[in-house]
Amino acid sequence: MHHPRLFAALACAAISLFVLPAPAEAKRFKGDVKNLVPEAPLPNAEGYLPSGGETKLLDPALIRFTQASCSVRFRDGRSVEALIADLKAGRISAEQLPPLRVFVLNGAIWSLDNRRLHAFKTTGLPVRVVRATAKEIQKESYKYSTANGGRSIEVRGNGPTLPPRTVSRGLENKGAGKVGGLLDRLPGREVTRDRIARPGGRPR
Amino acid sequence: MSRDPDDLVVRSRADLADLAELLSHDLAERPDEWENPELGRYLEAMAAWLRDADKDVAPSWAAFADALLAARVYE
Repeated sequence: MHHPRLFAALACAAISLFVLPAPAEAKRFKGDVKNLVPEAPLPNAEGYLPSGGETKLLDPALIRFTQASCSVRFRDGRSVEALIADLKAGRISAEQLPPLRVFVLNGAIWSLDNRRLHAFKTTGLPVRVVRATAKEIQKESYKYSTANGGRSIEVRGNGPTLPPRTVSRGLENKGAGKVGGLLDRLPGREVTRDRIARPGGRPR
Repeated sequence: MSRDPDDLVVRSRADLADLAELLSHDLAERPDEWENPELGRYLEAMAAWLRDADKDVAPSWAAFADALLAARVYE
């Protein structure tokens, strides 16, 4: 027996399945995961990470950057260079800092906290790590901009407007009409490396 | 509590306006979750992300939305 309401319900279900966007589309994951490919995978990368919620000390050389560049300043305005100086002098230890949020992908360990990783890589001191949560990995997927497998990172200079870059981008912005290319050719946009900022204390 | 900006799919000018409004509410309610809660840092992060991220993406309302969302978390 045909029932109009049953037919309508089935039609609606079919439309929702085949016409409306899939629920997965509602969740953004816009980072270029294709960028997170190391040139040489780390055997048993998972084995280096602590259990969920726990922390452990790790050699920073084992961890890769997710971003192509990062600000010279932490969220609270203190500088990365000040943290490096404090770590080297023993004024701050790894235990006094928030752990790096890390995850394993493509056989490598990646950090969501690029500035602190840069500081620890510079000093060579062991760094405390914790597994990033699935929500953090998704929400911060915009960070996956590294173009060299996470081996190194540019530290951007400090300034209220368009700061100088630490590495020339000329070859990457050679396309005609691209705003980035025009900006990079303006005077004062040339290269400096790891500008030193004023000393500070503990970063957030 | 307002809707999570990450849940909004942006396909039009009106969607983008909704996203901007959601981001404004999100900043007011959860400033500690923003890497760049101040305008100067937010714009600097947006500029850096636009230079660092995939340059093959065609201009669109969705791409505009990505820039707004990325600047929230980019270091």
